[in-house]
Amino acid sequence: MSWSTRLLFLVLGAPPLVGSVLALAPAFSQYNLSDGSLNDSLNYFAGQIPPAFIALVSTPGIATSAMTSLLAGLLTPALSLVSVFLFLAASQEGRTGKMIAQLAAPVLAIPHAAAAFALALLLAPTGIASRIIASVAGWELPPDFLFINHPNSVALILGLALKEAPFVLLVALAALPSTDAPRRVALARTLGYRPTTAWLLTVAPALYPLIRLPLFAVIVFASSTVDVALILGPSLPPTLSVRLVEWFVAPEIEQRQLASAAALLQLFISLFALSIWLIFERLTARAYASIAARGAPRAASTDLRFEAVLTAIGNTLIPTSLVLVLMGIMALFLASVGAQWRYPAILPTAWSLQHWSTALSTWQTPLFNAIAIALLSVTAAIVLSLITLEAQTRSRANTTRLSTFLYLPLLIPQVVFVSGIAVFAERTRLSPSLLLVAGGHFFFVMPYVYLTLQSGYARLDSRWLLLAKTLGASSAVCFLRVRIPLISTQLITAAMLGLTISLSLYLPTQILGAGRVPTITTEAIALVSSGSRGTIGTWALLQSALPTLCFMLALLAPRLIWSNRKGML
Amino acid sequence: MGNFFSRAFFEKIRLIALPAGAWLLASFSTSALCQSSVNADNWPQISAEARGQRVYFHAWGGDTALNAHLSWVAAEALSRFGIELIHVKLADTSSAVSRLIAERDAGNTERGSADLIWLNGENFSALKRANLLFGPWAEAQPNFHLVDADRFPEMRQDFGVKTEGYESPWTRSQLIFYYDSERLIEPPRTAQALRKWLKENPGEFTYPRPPAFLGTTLLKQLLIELTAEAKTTDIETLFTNPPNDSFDAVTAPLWTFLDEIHPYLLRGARHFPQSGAQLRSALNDREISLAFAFSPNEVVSSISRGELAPSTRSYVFESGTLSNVSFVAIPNNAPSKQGAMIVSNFLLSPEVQFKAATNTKLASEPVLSFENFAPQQQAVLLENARAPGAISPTELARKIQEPHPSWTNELEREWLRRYGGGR
Repeated sequence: MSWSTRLLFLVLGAPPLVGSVLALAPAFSQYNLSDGSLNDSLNYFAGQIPPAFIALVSTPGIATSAMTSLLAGLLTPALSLVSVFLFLAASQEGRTGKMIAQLAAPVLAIPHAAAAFALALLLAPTGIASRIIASVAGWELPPDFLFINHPNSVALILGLALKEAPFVLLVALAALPSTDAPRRVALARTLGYRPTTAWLLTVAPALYPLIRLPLFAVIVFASSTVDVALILGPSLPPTLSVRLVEWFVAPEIEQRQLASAAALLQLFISLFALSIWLIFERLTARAYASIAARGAPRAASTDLRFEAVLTAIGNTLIPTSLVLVLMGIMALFLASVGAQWRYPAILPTAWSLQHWSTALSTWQTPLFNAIAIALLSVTAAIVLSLITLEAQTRSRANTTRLSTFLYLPLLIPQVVFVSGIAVFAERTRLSPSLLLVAGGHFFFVMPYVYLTLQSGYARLDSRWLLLAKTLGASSAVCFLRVRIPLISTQLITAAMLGLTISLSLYLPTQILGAGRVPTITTEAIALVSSGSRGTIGTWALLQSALPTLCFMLALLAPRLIWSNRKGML
Repeated sequence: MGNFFSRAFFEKIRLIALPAGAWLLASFSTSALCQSSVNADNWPQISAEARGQRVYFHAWGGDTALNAHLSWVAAEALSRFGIELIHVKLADTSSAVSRLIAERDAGNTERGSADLIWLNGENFSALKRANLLFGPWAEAQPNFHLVDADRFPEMRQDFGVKTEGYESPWTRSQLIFYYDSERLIEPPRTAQALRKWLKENPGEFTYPRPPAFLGTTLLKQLLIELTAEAKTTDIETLFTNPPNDSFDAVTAPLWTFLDEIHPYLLRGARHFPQSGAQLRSALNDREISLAFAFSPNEVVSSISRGELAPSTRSYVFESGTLSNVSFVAIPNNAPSKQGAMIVSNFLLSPEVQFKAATNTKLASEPVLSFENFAPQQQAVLLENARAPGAISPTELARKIQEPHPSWTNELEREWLRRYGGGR
């Protein structure tokens, strides 16, 4: 291990590990829980198993909660992956495909909570969809059905996939060039395969390994999300992560131990979801291999129908999801300017700017904090990434193993390790401050910044630097005048991606800042409890505005910088 | 044993004891808070020391009207007392309590993150039991006499727990029910009438999922009413004692009642709203036709914001509804205790109380006794009580006190055990 690898491990790997240990430790305390409801059949184990675990196991509905988290953790990435692959297969080289992919980027910038609200505003019994049906069918009263918050958690998985699919799409698009897709498809076409099938059989297996790690992060995120599950997930019982946070903030000390035990279970569920995914990977790979080995495409007629169905699905799923999000944003906007909007009116019946004026009178501090935290954490991440990348290229170290622990902060559920870091900060008398929050954000920003810059380093032909050296340039000059300008696109993308992520982080901000460092996101989530549609709409839009702006800049900036150069995009 | 009393041992004691002693001496000699209690005589010194302090006020931040009111209070506190008041908006007060416990566990005894906390009931009882509160100080405030605590004992009682000067009242609340008078002519006024009405009108009522505060409040209201009706238990045990072995017997009628009404709730009780605000928008969208809130002026303020129709009316149950007082308390490890006390005293002034009561978006119920307002202020308050959707003072006088705080926990736990796991 080179010193740069070690540094990276120390900075990125150690805090999540230490944090997790600290967060999980109370679960093993032998302090007796004053819970009278211990299951009798479990009392036999009392004294051998820490009481927190017995209490956890005897909590009603805990198995259902864990199951919901597990399902969300598996179905969200599966749904996202399938829809992205089908979309890429169906729309290869197409103009519309490119346009839609560009639409996906701003959707990625919308914070999860805002997207979840948007979906609820559309699909709840009093939502826009229901209002439109009411105007046709002549309903006076909203129907009494359960979709959002349904115990089957379809709405939760749908809401998560709406946000994760664009993420997977962008990751896949970034990796696609290195698979040499057009030639693979062309080869399969000469063997008689139709375009969509050809893509799925030849490009997908080459693309999948490149987006595997981001998918793992999706699995962990989906199985441990708090804000989306609060808004869209079931409430009887809620997901494991939601219950964990409820216990973590409860005033009784026993609940803290219960929260720690639940955090351990959460870690287990996330890892379990990962291992099931790995098994499925093997099975799918085997199935793929046997299909490919069968060789000859099926009889032309069935193949055509099969191809048509695949193409149709591929062309609908992603565009529908994007349209859904955009309509949701519209709904948020309507809610934010509506003074009166009773069912079944499709549009508000009275308009006002009162929600905006109240929000705008209090948003300066949260906005300033959010921007300061984002800038601090992103700058630190960029500097550290450049240092390690520079060191690695100069020592020509093998960097493939690195990316595994780069993902550590993303592979350990946020709730688990952030609460541990809060305990650590408290022990070491670091008082909650903007700096501490920025430090917390750093862990979540760093992986994305590093990976983006790494792709820039990998893509840059090293002969440019060799050329500069032969002309007598020092290493520093090489770095500053050759490397930096040539990776400026990746540098901007990394910065904007980092800013976007930092701006929408809730849990680390709230827990590490002890509520003293309000950001737009924490204010927005605090107002969720007020439940007024107008307030939620306003704050959800405010919360989305900045990240979206960053994203737009990230897309535009390279075009502006390279407007007088060819082949740089 | 010989080693135990060795010189090194005493050396260690000296190393620990000396700085601690010095710190104790230093803290005794300078501040007005040198004694553990505060009295009215040293108020001038307290206000002098408060100048320039920064006070972190941890209070629920889910109400924009209240947030706006507190930011006005903050601006006034800065210009009048030179205190920088910062409202830390909490999604849930219990998070402040758990933070205090975490701080104590970490040995943080003097630089806590909160200076003033909006508390009541179980949170107060938990902090007081754990000795995490500073005091007594509340009755030393110059404005405290305005609440007339001798006539209104609820100003010294928080859910049956004596406050003993460890917290100061600042607003009060009562459970009220409300309905759209265009959809519902005669709303139910007792628990039994509610059950009968709900069976005839399925899906038109629901309640926030306990432990959401408003949901638990309804459980307590029903428990008191059903207990009084059953006459099998002495109702006083609910108010004075924590639940004991008889919990199952006492609460049996409540669970029977809930089992009976649940199939008739909105969404068949497979999902409950998360808060009173969601209940309110469900009523506004005609999903339900009867709702409730823990704020007598909820309906008036919501009508003014356009969140409820002007035809909405509010009322309380025949035998009265739960009512309680909200308090502010100062943690033991608060760095700006003096500033916190000055802010609390300011919250008790007729000026602030009147402003909070007459702000149409907030309309909080004052803790001051009516005659302590100026005559013009009294006239305005009387006028406001006649607004559409407002509730008359005579009806509001039907108050039921809160049960002992430990009932809250037990009821929530039992509710979650019975219904929280789903079916």
